[in-house]
Amino acid sequence: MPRNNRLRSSPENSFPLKAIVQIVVAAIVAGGAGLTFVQYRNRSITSSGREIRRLEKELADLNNELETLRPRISQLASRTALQARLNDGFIKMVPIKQDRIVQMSLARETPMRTVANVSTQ
Amino acid sequence: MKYTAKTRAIIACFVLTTCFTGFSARLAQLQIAKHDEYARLAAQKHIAKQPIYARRGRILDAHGEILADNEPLKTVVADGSLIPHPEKVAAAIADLLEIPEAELRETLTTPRKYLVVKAEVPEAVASQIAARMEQKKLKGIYFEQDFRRFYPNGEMLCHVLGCTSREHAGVDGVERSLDEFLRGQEGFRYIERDRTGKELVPYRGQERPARDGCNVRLTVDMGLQSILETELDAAYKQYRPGTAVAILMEPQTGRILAMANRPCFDPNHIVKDDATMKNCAIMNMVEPGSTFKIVTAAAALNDKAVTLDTMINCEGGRFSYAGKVLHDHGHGDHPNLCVADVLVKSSNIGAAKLAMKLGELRFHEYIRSFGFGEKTGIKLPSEISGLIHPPHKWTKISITRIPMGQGVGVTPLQMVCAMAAIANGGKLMMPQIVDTVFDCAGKPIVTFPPQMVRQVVDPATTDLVRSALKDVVSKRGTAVLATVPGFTVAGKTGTAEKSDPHGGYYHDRYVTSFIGFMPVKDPKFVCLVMLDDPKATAENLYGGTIAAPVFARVGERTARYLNMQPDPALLVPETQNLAVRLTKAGH
Repeated sequence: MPRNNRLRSSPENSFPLKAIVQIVVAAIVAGGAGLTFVQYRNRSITSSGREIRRLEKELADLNNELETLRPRISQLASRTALQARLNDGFIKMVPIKQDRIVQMSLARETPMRTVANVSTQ
Repeated sequence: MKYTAKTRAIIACFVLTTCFTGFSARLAQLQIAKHDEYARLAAQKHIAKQPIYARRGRILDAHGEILADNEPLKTVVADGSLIPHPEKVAAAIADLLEIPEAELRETLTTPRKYLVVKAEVPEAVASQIAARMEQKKLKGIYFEQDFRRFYPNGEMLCHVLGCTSREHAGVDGVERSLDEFLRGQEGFRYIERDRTGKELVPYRGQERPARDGCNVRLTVDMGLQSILETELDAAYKQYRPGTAVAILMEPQTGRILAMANRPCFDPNHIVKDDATMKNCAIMNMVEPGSTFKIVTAAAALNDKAVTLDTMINCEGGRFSYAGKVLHDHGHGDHPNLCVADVLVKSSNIGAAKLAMKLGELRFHEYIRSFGFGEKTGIKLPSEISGLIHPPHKWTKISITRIPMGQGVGVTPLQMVCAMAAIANGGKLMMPQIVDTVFDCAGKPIVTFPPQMVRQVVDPATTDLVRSALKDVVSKRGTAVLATVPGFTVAGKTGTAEKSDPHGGYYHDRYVTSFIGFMPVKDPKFVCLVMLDDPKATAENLYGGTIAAPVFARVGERTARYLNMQPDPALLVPETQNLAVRLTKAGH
C-alpha cells in the first residue's frame, strides 16, 4: 500500500490528461472543420461541374438537333426534291404558255425603283 | 528484467521513429523518386484527350444554295471495363443498334476500354440508347461525334462536287481540290475522369477549340445546272451514247455556269471504283472533229494569210495529198468556197488548205496558244492536258488532218475555252469553278477573280470568225437546228469518227458535238454539247442533228432564265415554226 501511494504521487508518472484531451479535442475540431470545408468545396465543385456538364449537354443537344434538321431542310428544299414533288403532282404548277410571256424592256435612263425609295421631302 | 518508465518511453519513441522514418522514406520514394512514373500511370487511368469535332465546310452554288452539307451522326463506343453484365446491356440496346443480341453480348464481353460497337448511328437513335442506359442504370456505353457528308441534290452536279472518304477526306471534285479549306481542324480537351468514368469537369486541362472548315461558293448556278442536266439527260436517254458532256461558261470571265456529265453517280451512295465517277469534261481526251476548225480559221485570219472572202479551191470534194485522199462530205458541188463558207459548210479540204497556208510551225503555235495540250487550270482534280504532238512528230498528212480536228486529243473543257476566246474578243480565260472561300464567320478569305491566260487572236479576227459562225446556225450551215428564236446564235458542229484502239477509225461510230454562244453581239454564255458514240440512224449521226437541238433547247431556257432580251426582228414566223417543230418532235 505505501508503495502504491508513492507511485501515484510520483511526479514522474503524472499524466497531463487534461492537456492532451484539450489538444485532441482542438485537433478534432480543427480537423472536422477542415474536412467539412474540403467536403463543402468538393460538393460545390462537383455540383458546379455537374451543372456545367448539364448545360454543355443541353447546348450540344440543341446544336445537334439544329445540325440534324439543317440537312433535312436542305434536302426537302433541294431542286431535285422539289422537281420530284412537282412531277408527282404534289405541287400544282401550271406551265406558262409562250404566248402569255411578255418581255418588258426598261429604259436605261429611268431605272425601276421601289416606292419606298422615292423621297417624300 | 525490468525497465524503468524512461527506458520504456525511449524504446517506444525509437520504434515509432523507425516506423515513421520508414514511412517517410517510402513517401519520399513514391512522391519524389517515382513521381513521374506514377503520375503517368495515374494520367493514363484518369486523364483522356477528348477530341472536339470540327464541322466540314459547306459547298454552295453562286446564289448560296446548299450543295454539300454535314449530317451529324454518332459512333457508339463501349468501355468493357465498365460493363460487368454485358447481357443486360445487350438486351437493353441491341434492337436500337439493329445488332443481334447474342452478337452484341459477345462483343461487349471484353476487358477492352475502347471498342467501337457501331458507326454512323443517327442522332435520334443515339439519344434513345442514352435514355435507355440511364433508365436501366447501366454504364459503359458512350458516344463520339461523327458526321456524314450529305448532298441534297443527289446526282446533280456530282462530278463537280465529288465526294469524301469515310475519314472525311476529299476524294474527288471540289471536295478534293479544296480539301484544305473545307476540312477544318479538330480541337481537343484534356479531361479527367473519376473511377466510374464520369468526367471531373473542374479538373479540365488544356483545351484547343475546333476550327470549322471554310464554306466554298462555286460559280455554278443551280438553275442553269438543272436546265443543262435535264436536256442532257433527255439526249442521253434518246441516243444512248457511251458518255455525254455539256458545259456552260461565261465567256467574258471564264466562270463555269454549269457542267454536266452522263453517266453520273449519287455521291450520297458511293460504290468503290465506280467508272461513272469520271468527270469526262476534263478527263476525256477526244478528237474534236470539225469544231476544231474554229482554231484553224482564226489562226489563218489572224495571221492575215486569208480574209473571209478569200476563195479556197476545195478540189470538188476530193483532195489527194501525200498519197492519201481527203474527202468533203456532201459538198462536192462546191469546188470553191470562201473562208467563211469553209466554216459554214464545214469543209475538211478548205480547213486543210487554210492550215497549209500557215505552215506546220505557225499552225502548231496557234493550237498551243488556244490552250490545247496544257491543263486549263480549273480547280478540279485529275484534269488532263490532252495531246498535241509537236510538228517534228507530225506525219506528212497531219497538216491536212489536224485542221479538221483529227490527230489531236483535247478535252471538252479546252474546246469551250477556245470557243470562249472567239466569243470574247480573243482572250483565253482560265475557267473558274470556285468563286469565293468564306471562313466560319462568313468573311471572304480567298476569292478567285477572272484570270486571262493570254490574248490569243486580235478582236478584229474574232469578229470575222463570229460572223462566219453565225452563218453556221442558218439554213446555209450545218447547224440550223441550233437556232434559238429571238436570238442570234453562233456555233460550230462536229462529227468526228471515233478512233479505234486497234488503229484507224470506226466508220459507223462518231463523237457528235455542237459548241456555240449567244447572242453573237454580246455573248452571255458559251455552251458545248458532246455525245460520244450516240446510237441513231446513219443519216442522223451528225453534230448538227444530235447535239445542235440540245444546244437550242438549253439556249432557249437559259436565255429565259438569264432574262436575256430577245430581238423581236428575229422572232420571224420561220423560226417560230422551227421552235414549234422542235417542241413537237419532243426535243
